[in-house]
Amino acid sequence: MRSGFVLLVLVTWLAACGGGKDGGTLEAIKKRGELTWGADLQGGEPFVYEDPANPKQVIGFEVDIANAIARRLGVKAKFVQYAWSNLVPSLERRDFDIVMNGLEATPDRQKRILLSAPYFIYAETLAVRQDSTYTTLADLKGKRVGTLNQTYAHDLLRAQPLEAVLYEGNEEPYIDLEQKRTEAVLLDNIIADRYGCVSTRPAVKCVPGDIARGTYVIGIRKGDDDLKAAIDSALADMRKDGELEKILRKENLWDARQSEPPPVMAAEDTVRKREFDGAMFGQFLDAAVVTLRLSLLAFLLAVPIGLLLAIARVYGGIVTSTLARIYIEVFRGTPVLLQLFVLYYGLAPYYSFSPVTAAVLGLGLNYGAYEAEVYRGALLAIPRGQTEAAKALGMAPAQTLRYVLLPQALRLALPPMTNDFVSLLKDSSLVSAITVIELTKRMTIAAVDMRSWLIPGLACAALYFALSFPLSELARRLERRLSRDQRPQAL
Amino acid sequence: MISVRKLSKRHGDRTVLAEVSAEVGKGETIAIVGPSGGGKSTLLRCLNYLEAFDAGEIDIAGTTLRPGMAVGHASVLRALRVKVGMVFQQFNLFPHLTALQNITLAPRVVRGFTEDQCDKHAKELLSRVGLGDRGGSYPHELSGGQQQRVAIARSLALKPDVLLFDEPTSALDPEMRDEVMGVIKDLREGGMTMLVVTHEMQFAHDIATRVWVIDKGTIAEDGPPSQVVDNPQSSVAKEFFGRLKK
Repeated sequence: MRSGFVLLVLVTWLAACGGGKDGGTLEAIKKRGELTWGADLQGGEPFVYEDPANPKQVIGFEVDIANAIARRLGVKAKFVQYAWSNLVPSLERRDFDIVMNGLEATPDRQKRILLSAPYFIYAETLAVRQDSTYTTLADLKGKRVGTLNQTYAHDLLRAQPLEAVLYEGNEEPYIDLEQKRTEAVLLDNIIADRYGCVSTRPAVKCVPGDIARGTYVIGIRKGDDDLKAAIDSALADMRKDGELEKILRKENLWDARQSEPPPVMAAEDTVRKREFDGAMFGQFLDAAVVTLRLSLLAFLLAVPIGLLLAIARVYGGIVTSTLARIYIEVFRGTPVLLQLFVLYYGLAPYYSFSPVTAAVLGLGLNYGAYEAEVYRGALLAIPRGQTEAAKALGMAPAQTLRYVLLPQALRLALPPMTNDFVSLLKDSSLVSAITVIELTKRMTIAAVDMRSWLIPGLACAALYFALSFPLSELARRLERRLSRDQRPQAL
Repeated sequence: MISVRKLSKRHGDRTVLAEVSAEVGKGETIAIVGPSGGGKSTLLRCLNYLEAFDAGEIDIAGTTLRPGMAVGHASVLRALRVKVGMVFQQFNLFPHLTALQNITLAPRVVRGFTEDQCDKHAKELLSRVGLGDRGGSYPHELSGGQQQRVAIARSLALKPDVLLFDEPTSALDPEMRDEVMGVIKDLREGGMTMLVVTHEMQFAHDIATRVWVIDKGTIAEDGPPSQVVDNPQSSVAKEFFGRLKK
């Protein structure tokens, strides 16, 4: 996550330099006998996914289409795994020949790359809870509506006066809908039919009728007009001779929409490109406040947890110290992202936390394990004579801890604690996975809205620094005040 | 004031204390001397139960100590330690507290005295050890001798009946030793009952009212300085004082 921003700037820069308008791809494909196509397995069934019977093999309707097109071009198709949001930049960088992975035809994409004829017509489907009366987007004014990041559905939601809640996976939007964390979910009918309005989710229903229609197309580099012509003709033949219908029927995707004329793409994007103006700056500040508040609350939770665990480990009996050690090893030894998912989605059927509560709890419980080891180290660094002196003065264990050991341990722990807090501040970006819009998420949203990473990235970096530096400075002063006798000796 | 009866302690195979018996009367100042590893410090630390022992009994300041009291007798031991103070070789002052706060901490949290009462008493104690003007200083701002005098004042703040000193001057320069010795001498004049583990010949000779020579876990010789130091009978004492005199 931390390296994300640098990476993104780099990717943008590389893409800008890459250009790639020289064509010649079709010739190269025929020469090497292989058509390489980029897609993301995370999109899941039915697009491109690992065969449950043979996980080394990918299957799905897009695999079948790619194979059919390749066959008609006289070559073999080769799948290449890429993160979905990087597919278009990677195409431009010539990492593969074409993109095919539920890529929606939008005016913005058409400006950037060549788009083939559609191979599938989808509908944006609104899912709501059974007892709900919402039927249109207009009904959902001011409400929370879930969708996937960077999709056409997201564009539709952004054009409405409602709060779009963004996800990266197909299941999570519907889990949150069940849990009443959102009021509706807008997604392609392929996803809605398979993940949303299914028998295992009796509380969710799909509103009949299409909110909008769109098409999936194959992305081709600018300049490769001959490749586009070849693919379009292959697709037209497949439509004519029934192979496309056969492929779509195999995955249960053939419906009446496929026989109807494809929807006409709007000339301009429904969402206008945004500038980094006062309103956006305000959104960045709000997100920075979310980040700071989350981090402070999580740390306020982590410190007492860490203290208790450290005391249990150092002074507890065999049972207490073993329990503390198990806690520390489990929370430190598993990814915090996983812990957030378990708290937010995994526990949802039993207890439904709000996103912010789950975020604070998840980060706090996780950092508590790290703090515990910091305090344990600090407690062990205090000379034995201190405990002995306190004992000899008739002090009880709790008094010894409170008045003698903890004050000394805390000032030893202050530099690593500052470290941990700054680290937590940045790790808090992980909570966007459970729909909290904090600083990093705000940056990625702004980058999509502005079609550029540079300014949002810089604003995001500046705000993180503006949050962490004063805190480091505060800690430095506190440390100087507390550690009068611990100034380093000259070497 | 103190009665030690057949006190024994082992560390694995090694006998640290072997059926030590001794009596200490009120107001006595006992110098405990002897070769290293002979059990001097262990005997001292058994007296306030900082170390447990395996057999025997100790009556001290109205409390009877027996083996196995480390678990389940915490409040008895705490009450005992209020009456039996201890001063360490390494001072063990609390570095995050000022001299005054070091002295007032235990009276405040253990005895529940108010801050005003404690401060007043602590200032008197600091004056008594010659540091009336250093109450606001932190331990690292004080010399070793000054730190040890604060540590003595800290022990006195609980108004103990007995004071135990574990090599109180071993970590100090000769000049500072005299400061600390002076304070202990004043305490003797004031009638405090004290046991002092020491290597200082001069202390044993000039300040102690009685000298114990401890070797191999037993009291090899016990008597007034004029007898034990000037005219030792046991071979250990002869050898010990003979070496120190050279």
